[in-house]
Amino acid sequence: MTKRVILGKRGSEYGIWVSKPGYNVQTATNDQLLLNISQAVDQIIMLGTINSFSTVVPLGLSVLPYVFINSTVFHQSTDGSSYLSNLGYMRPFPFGDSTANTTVIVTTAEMVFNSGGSFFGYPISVHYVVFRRRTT
Amino acid sequence: MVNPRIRIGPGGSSPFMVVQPGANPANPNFDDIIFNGNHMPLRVMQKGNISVPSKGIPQVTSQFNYSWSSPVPLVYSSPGYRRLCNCIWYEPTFSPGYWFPWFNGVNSGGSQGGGVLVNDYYLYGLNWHTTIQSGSAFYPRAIVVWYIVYYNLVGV
Repeated sequence: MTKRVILGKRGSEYGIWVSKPGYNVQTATNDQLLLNISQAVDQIIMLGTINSFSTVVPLGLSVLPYVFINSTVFHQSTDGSSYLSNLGYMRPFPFGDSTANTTVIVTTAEMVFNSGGSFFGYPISVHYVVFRRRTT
Repeated sequence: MVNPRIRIGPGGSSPFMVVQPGANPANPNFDDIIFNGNHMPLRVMQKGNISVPSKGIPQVTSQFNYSWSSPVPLVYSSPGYRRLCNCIWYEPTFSPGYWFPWFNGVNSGGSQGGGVLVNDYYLYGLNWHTTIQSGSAFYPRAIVVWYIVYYNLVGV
């Protein structure tokens, strides 16, 4: 059985390490580790969906985070009902010249999603992911 | 004396916290966190590359669409999960070593759109399209698209 977790001493350093399957955590190199004591893990602290604009999402952080945005498109059926298209999540965003851009202003206090976007006239939903990674 | 950098247990801002040297694992600053047990780490679901063939030098002025015809099945396909996807591309014969975000198009100007789509089951190439003059040197060359898809995050 390969040892994959250390909570304690590894070499001359104390901390926590988790290795990939098949690698001995005592000797694993950096690219063979899932978690080590000295490198921050990219983590999500918030996510959600915006369906109407403009919308303010409170953040309440002390520093500017990294925010990832993508979108989905709703198609309008002939009977007037909307349904999620098979386009899935688009990235990058916004998309192409034919899309009315949605912009977002990010501060430490909040995110403001301005003017509703569209895709060839179809309404879109904007999905955001806020990372625990500062941008300043 | 070694300051503790790992905290496990109730109280504090998270039941499990790993922090930078000198930081307080009970209530660390934003930048001092190595791992926070309350937050979802970004995990790679799958990654790969797709070769998209050249369209050749156009004989007549026409619009070209860049896309790949075979969607890439997702190894973990289930409805209701949000995924993150990112992609970059390069031209192996024209600009090896130069990587581009998809959105910039190819050296032809007037391009539109582009990107990668992910639904519950597949990853698709999204049409990048542009109108190219007959005989233009800026025809759509063969490209390679590298993509990475992350697992769903928290339940939404």
